[in-house]
Amino acid sequence: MHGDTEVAAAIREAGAAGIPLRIVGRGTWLNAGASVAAETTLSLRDDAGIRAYAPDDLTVTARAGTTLRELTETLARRDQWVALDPEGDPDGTLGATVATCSYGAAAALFGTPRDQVLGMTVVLGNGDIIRPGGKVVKNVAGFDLIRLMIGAWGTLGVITEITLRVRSRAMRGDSIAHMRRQMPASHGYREPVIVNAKISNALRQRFDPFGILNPGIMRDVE
Amino acid sequence: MTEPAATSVAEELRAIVGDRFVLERDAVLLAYQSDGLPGYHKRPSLAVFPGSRDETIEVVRLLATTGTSFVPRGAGTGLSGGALADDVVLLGLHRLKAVLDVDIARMRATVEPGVVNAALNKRLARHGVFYAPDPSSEAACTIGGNVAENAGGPHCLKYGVTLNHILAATVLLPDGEVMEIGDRDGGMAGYDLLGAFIGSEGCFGVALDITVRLTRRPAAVRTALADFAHVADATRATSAIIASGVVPAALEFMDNGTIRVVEESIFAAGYPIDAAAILLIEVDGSEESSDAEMEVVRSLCMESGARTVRVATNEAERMRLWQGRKKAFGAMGRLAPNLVVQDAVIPRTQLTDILAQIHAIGDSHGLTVCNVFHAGDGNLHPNISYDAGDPDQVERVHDAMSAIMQACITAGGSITGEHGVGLDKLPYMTKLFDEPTLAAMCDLRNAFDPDHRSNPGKVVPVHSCREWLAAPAARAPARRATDAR
Repeated sequence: MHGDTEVAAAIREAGAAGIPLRIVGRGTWLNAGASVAAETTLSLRDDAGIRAYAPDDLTVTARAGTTLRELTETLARRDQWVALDPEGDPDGTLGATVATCSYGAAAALFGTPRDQVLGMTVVLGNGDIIRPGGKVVKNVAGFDLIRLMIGAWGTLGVITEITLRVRSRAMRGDSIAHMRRQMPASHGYREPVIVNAKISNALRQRFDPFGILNPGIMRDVE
Repeated sequence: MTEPAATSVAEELRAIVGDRFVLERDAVLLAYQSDGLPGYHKRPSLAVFPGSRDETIEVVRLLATTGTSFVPRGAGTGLSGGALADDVVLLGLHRLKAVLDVDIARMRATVEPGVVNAALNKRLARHGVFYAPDPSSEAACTIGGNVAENAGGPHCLKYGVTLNHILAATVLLPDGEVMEIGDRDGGMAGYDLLGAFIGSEGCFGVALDITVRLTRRPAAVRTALADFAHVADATRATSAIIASGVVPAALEFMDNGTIRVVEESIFAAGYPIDAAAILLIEVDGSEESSDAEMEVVRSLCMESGARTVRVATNEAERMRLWQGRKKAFGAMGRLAPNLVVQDAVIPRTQLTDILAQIHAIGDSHGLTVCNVFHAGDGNLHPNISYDAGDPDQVERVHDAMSAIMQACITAGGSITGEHGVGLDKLPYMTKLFDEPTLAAMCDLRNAFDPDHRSNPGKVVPVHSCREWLAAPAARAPARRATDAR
């Protein structure tokens, strides 16, 4: 898949035909949820690359299939980084990291992916392409679709592009040591389970009306 | 046999909260006709102030049963018209002000929504911890209101906004159902409904309690005042500091107009009145790191053309420097009867250009714009003092603000960084987002409040909502509280 319109066309087609899709980046995800009940794969691995990098504004925009390795290497040339260090393969994709809200040791000081993402492009289950957020570091315009998508495991929409907060590597650790957070674990992800069933199911019906986005992956606990 | 007398919603509300806490008379409702932003006046049909969690649940369930719309309100310090009730019930939550739990070991506190931001921090001080987000209205605004608006503040540059400091909440949905969202222990499971709720501007229901993350007080704080003869030097210093990797706890900008107003007021902070701009820069951490970072900041300011950089030598001096900044909006009250505090965000590298544009827009509309803002994250607050009694001025202020918003959008920015959309920014939403994105925002709202009874008509223009467009007849107007049941 390349680009928003192609992803949107594939999703519209699948929705019309009622064909469930397994949404993947490079397919290196932890096997965290229930197995996806889908034969057809929608892969974002080739929809990769950094689209905009503004070192002085401390923001970067990349396609979902971009590997964390590529992102890290690009930013390192300017002595910068993004606070995303999930466990596992450095060739995992940015899209999967955000879609699962996977985090590592950096989260204790900088928070999880939900604290790093400034903007997104997402293709919803009805094929709509939406662009919540933006490229500024502080933004409260409108309801927060970004937080909704982070850790939703692709079940509310397929993330195709992400704008992130960038940090300088030169920042002194001891000036932020007192900000250390209580984290439940040194690494992890947002559990793909259905809690608050009433709201969660209402969201699924609205954002994935044909039930084609990673069906089955969210376990029921209630 | 006669029909039993119809019972009004107001009477039933009085039965729940007591006569004193249901207001219906025009004279007393006058106080609730506006929030921190002048220029909008909306009269609630009545105001109700529950005194406990149980009363709040009963009130909202009654409003749900009767199909009555309502607007949640904390301290009413909001700056976007978000807490205005236009002929619907105003639900004031400021009486719910219990601090339910302070758990220092787990670095969290659970509070009711009416707890005042600064009151919480006063309570936490003896434990050496604090709740980080510090809106300028901290002395009056409530945690519930902060959550509704995803409030920011000067120290959000380093510490993050409200979203980054809330662990969990108990939410009362508009239909009266009570729901726990988030996880007090910091775990993450299921859709991030807490993330969606924070900043939902009262449209998703009300929080009955909120668990906030606590942060250890840094061992040392250094605050400096850098004085510039040219605005461009101050913005260049801002960029240099951000690029250096030092993340100041706060990096605030004040222009000459603001400096003069502050210095002529009772909040005079000793700012140089001949400066084109000043930066108020704070770093914190350990004693060693603070000294080292302040040295970096000082030399970058001087290299960028600062005339002087003065570091406060004691706490009294530090507080005085901050007083001028925190009370700047109050000081502007000296200029004219009304003040509009605007809020927009731009990429930080655009600061110099946008400030010049704002200045030109002010000039061409015959208005003086005072700028005082969070330079470190590009969050602008252009302010215009004016007389709301003069229709010509009102129109010019409106036109100037529209032009400023458009300039920020064109520069790749946003229409609000911390004040919310409310009523004031509704017209700009369609300039910032396309129709599918606005429709998706409506869908998100619909999952929480399908009838749009909680803070109706705010944040997303109604015409952007697919279902409301498709089937207007299916949505009978929500009933007014004064209607008989």
